[in-house]
Amino acid sequence: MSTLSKELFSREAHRSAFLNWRLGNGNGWLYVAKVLLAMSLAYYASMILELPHTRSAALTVLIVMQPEAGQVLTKSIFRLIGTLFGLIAMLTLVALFHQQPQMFILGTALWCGVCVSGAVHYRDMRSYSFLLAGYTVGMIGVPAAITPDAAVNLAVGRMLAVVIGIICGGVVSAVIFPRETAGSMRNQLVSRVGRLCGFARASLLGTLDRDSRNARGRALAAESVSIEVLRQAATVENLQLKQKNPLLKALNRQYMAMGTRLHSIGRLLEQLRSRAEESQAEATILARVEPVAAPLLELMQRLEKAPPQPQVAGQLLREFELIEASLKQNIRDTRADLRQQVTDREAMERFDTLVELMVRFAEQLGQYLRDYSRLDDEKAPEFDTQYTGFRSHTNPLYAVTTGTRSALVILFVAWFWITSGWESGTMSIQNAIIAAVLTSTVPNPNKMAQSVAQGAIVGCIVGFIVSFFVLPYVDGFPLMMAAIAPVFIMGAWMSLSPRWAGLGFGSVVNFCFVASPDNPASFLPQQFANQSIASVTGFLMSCVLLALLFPPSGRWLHRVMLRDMRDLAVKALTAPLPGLAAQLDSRSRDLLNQTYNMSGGQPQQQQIALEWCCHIQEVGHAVIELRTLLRSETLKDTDPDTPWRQTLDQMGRALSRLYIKPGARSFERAMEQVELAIEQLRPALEPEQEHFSNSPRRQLLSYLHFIKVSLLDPQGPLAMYREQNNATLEQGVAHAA
Amino acid sequence: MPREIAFYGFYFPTVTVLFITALLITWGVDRILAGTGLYRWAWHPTLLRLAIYVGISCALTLPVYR
Repeated sequence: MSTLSKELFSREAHRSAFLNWRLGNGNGWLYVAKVLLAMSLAYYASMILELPHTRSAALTVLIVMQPEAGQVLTKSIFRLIGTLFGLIAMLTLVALFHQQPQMFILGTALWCGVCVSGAVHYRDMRSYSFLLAGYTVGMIGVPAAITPDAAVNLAVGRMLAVVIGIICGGVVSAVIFPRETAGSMRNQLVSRVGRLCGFARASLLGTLDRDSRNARGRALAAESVSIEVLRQAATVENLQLKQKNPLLKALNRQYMAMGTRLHSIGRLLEQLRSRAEESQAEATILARVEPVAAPLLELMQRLEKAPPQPQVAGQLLREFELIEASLKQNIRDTRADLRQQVTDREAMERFDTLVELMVRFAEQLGQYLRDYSRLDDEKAPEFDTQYTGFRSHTNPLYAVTTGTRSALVILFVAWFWITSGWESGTMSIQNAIIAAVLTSTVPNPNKMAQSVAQGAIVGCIVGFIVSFFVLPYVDGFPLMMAAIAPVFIMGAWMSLSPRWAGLGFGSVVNFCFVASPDNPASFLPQQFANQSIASVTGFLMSCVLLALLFPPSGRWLHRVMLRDMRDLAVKALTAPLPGLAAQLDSRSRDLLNQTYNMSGGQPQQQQIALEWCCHIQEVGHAVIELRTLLRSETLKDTDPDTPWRQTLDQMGRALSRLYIKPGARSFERAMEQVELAIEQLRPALEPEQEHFSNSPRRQLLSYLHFIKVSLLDPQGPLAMYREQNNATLEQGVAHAA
Repeated sequence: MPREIAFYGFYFPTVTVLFITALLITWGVDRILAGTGLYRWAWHPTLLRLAIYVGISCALTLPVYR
């Protein structure tokens, strides 16, 4: 055998190929197998117990088994609680209003609206309860209302089927090859150190242009949010990990802060680069920047290639301390040199700002590595618990409008059903409720509802074939499962890929509605045709209405989210300092993530949101550092009546006004105040021979300069106000001339 | 033990009530065992929890049908 074929057929090659497959497609097939197993169990249990409505069990299994794993048992318990509440609400409504259909529909719509609002508003386990409460009402409510004398039996029977679905789905998910969140979180923590170092290296070298910087910023925001979700899941699952919770939160917070700093460094370098073409001073500075950070860059390159495990990071700490010290020394030397060569004061201030950011970044990186190396320690490290955690909550307005939308959808479909007297309308309204409830928490509900409606048509066709050409010939449970397994395999496999997820989900859901084997089995073509038409109509109506009423991609919601983001800047100026930087980081990224998800197909709105987020983060952090410096030991005893202190306060107020209501005038005022503050501070600076780290006023000046640079950013969100001001100035000049 | 428990006119099978009771007991036992660190030695912690639950609920429900 030649060496090539020996390599191809060797055990090593097989093993690595198998591992690659297992981490990629293998996971998908495992998920499909788990869904199939859970379905079989659910069907078996409901058939053995002779429950009236086996399709509810099958449907519930589908809804419960999502590809993302973690905390399955806790989710199941919350879902069971939600089902119970749905049952109680439904029976109450039936008992009160079974003679008045309009009131009954109103009550159902109201309850579903409240459930959807709750599901969207609460991002933790409670959202699962709300989802299932609304879903239960859809499954059991309307049929129970039609036959009020058998309502309790029907409702309880269907609820039992739902409970069986939840239990089967939960147990199979949790027991068969579960995906442990703790493991995947640790993997992410390790791999993102490498990503951070790559980002750091690119930023420090200034090789990122605006678009790639924005893309990285956006990726970092999504990563922070997802790792926060993983952290919450893993610390509940794993009680040992729970003791390390403060450490994990601190790691996340530091990571986000470093991301912001790197973004600012990248931007400053880009500006320096663009100015270096015109001015000699900037060119000199630019040439000296890279050698300053050379040892740090070399370390970043090593870490990017091979992201370190926590123990390895511990060994790196000594080396990192040396690098930090040499960085500071380099900066001092370079500053002394440049002061002799460069006379442009503004250029020197720009240099000061840039290296101040670099030093701070290096300090933060050192702290991060120190904490990261303690990740695998046996004993949990001590931490200050001032930071209360990633505050993530949805805008209440968004939750209320989503709930109202769902309620209106249900009202409309029900009105249609009552006035037309359509007998199969019960199926229609069931599907409308389920479509409205299940697509509420998805990032892009309209698109999801559309694909689900398309999938419903596919499901009907497949259901027809299976129901009338396959199932009549099978006998016994194993053959029945074998007959319908291909449908579920296809549906589960499709729901794994993001493009076909809605279609797959819709087709299997509708298959369960119209063609699922029932107890007793029925093969009536008329009933099938009626139910198919009704179910597809229900999905289509809800999809159309959801797209028309208050779509989440509307401009008004986007404006509300931007206003929330600007409020963060105002908070940075006025709120109490402890934990403020972390709050700014987490809230801004959370808002960015939500806005990005809501404006799915509108890149321009996403771009605006990203620009505002970066701007608010930069200015917010600079303001927080300013305020911290003012409170530090050396500065807090200065007389508050000194001119530079007063102008700083005025600047703070002008900035608040700018962010509360951005406009050309407030922008002009804010710019004036910032420049005034810089002018007033310059005479009060410490002598230049002092070390930068011992001269807080020079540090203040560097932050003021940074704020000015952010405000003047030609591609930032405030650029249009600057252009407006320039335009009016030119008009004024033209008029005067 | 009676086969059914009456609750304001609803008849609940005793087994159902005992399943729920076993769930609560298992939750308590689970918290205690997690504190002692048993789950670090378990090959499959969730399967162990499920087995404990099945054991406890069987122990509770056997007297009903004895």
